Amino acid sequence: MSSIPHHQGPGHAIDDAHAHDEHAHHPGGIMRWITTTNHKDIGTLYLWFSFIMFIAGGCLALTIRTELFHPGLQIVDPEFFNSLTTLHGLIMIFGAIMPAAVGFANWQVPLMIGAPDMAFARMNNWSFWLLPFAAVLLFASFFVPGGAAAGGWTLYAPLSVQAGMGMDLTIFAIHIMGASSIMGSINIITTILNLRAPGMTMMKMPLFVWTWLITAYLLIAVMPVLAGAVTMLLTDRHFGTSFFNAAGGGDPVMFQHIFWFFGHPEVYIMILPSFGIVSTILPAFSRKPLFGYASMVYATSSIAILSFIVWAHHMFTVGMPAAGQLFFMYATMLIAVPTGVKVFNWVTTMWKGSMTFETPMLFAIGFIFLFTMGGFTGLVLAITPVDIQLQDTYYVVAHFHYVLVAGSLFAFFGGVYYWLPKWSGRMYNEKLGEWHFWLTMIFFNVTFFPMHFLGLAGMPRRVPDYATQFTDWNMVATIGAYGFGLSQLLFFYIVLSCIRSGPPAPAKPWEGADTLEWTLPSPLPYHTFETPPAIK
Amino acid sequence: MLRSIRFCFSFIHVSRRLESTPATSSVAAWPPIAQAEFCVVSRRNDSLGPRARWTLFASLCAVSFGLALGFAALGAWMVLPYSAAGMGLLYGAWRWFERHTGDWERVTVTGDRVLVERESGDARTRREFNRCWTRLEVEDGAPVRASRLALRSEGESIRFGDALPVHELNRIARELRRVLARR
Repeated sequence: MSSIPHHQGPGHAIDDAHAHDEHAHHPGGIMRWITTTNHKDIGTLYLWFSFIMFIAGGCLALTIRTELFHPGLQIVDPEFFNSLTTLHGLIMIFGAIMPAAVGFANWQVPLMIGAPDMAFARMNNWSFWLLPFAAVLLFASFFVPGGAAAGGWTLYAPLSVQAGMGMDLTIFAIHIMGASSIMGSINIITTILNLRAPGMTMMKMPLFVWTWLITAYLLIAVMPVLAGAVTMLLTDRHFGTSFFNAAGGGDPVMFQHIFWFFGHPEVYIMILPSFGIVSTILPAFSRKPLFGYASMVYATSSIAILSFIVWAHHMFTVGMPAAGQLFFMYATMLIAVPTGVKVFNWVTTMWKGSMTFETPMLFAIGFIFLFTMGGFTGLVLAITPVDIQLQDTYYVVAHFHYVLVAGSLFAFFGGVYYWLPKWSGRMYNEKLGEWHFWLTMIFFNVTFFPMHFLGLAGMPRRVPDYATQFTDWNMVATIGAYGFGLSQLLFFYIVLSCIRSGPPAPAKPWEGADTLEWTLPSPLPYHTFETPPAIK
Repeated sequence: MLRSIRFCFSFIHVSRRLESTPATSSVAAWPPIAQAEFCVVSRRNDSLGPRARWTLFASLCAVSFGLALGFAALGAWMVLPYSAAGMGLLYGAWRWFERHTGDWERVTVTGDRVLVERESGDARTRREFNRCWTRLEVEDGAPVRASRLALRSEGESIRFGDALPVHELNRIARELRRVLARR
């Protein structure tokens, strides 16, 4: 009951109306953002932070692609190249995608369930403000003796045990980001389960809320596994333990098992909120309810459960019994069933709908098209004998970029365009938005589609140099990467010009939108749903 | 005549001439005021409930500690303290949350007095106004925000009913205004 003062002594009258108004007049300037406990402010902080990290991680990617434009060593030495691939992965996963998803959750979850704010507003503030410190540690690792971590974002032992001081900073950063994620997920679970407005039953919740509830469960389950793994790395490095050190009786392969037990659910942590965003956008622009709502909820839950039993498909070449290979192969293929249910439901939602193709819808359709391609290449990689051929080739790089860039990122772009009028009270430039979509779509495919060819032809990943036979497609991929990167500057311009000078947005700019936030004015008032809304 | 309405989700009790302890368990703990002409109690909606909350907590503990113990059995025992820390944080957060699920506020009109009582965590407050000098203000927040109710008397104003759904807020405002007019 946030609007009721906690301590009000007997006989001491407090003018509640004034007290409330004071609360509404939040601090201005930088202190507003540092001290804020408002879910909208914190959502904005998360989204801007993730965009900055996206640009920073993108710059690392462009350096990688520049080096790979030609065979031979041109602009960076091999050790630094390995640091670039490592930090690119860590920054994009922990700095860009995950915070962006939490940003959407902060903005949208309370609004979609009719709650006044997140359940633990101060913890929400701490969750965010841990992240910049973690980011500083990651970037600072470039400047310490030995350079940044260079063993890949998977931090495999024994490379990570032997690495320089940069690895310590990376481990510390991962701990901080893990703590932030745990606090964020506790907040989201509590908000969704306990703060729903009267009448907002679980099966009336928008699918975005469902996907985030399941994502938060996954985070709570697997973040301790990652924290334990990197702590064991740290003690192996500095305190004489031998968890992963074969010389001391440890087992480096155990690190891979532990890491991927975290790592595969992490893939779904990154993609499930995107499923929720797409499931919100598609019905709005098809002017039809989401097809198979209940089956979407069950499919999402099934994906989350299955994600715990497929981790070793990342390790087929490490060596395991044939029974293990078969189990992990079939379990991985099984994930295609609930994912297929989702894709079917999305397509059926559009079927015979009164569709229009504004920018959010374009990104949602682009998501379905490209994510399905990424899913299919995932099925190819699930087949053990094929995976043994393709392990650590560019085919894998193409696969996970189709899933995470065309999956997560496209959905986030769609989500920003969809809710920006509500958040800012202003409309973005639709024509420029469409340009952004088409440029992103084209350059994404120019960048990553040739990587399938490179991988199938045998080009290994994480190498700064390559055989000359791979030159042509690498040049194409590099040109595409620059186009893709520059296209995102257009996105920045669109968002900025919308916030500063876009035309006023109506309360409900999208005819088919039917979730609770559209019952509120645009821009959203600082405090919303202080009294619970009526749910039909 | 006793007239009481209980809304299943928000635990609101509205009664005129309250003569007995209300039937709902959540309200029963609060001391009733004899011969009240009007009484409204509002609580924030707790959409999960304590039983489901702690069942869920137990299931999360089972998953988290199950995984951690599995890893510990394989030698990776350092997952265990992080599982314990995560579950400990969740327990603390939910205990804190539960302390406030019992928060309530009550407005009672009895005789020549209007009482506004509140309990938030351990803090309990009570304001008393002269009925003749008290008026109800309905601050129409549309379209920016929902309406607010406030009682104003002797230059002081006190808000109440924030936990009430909008449609109930309007109904209670009408009823309270009628009771206050009948002085």
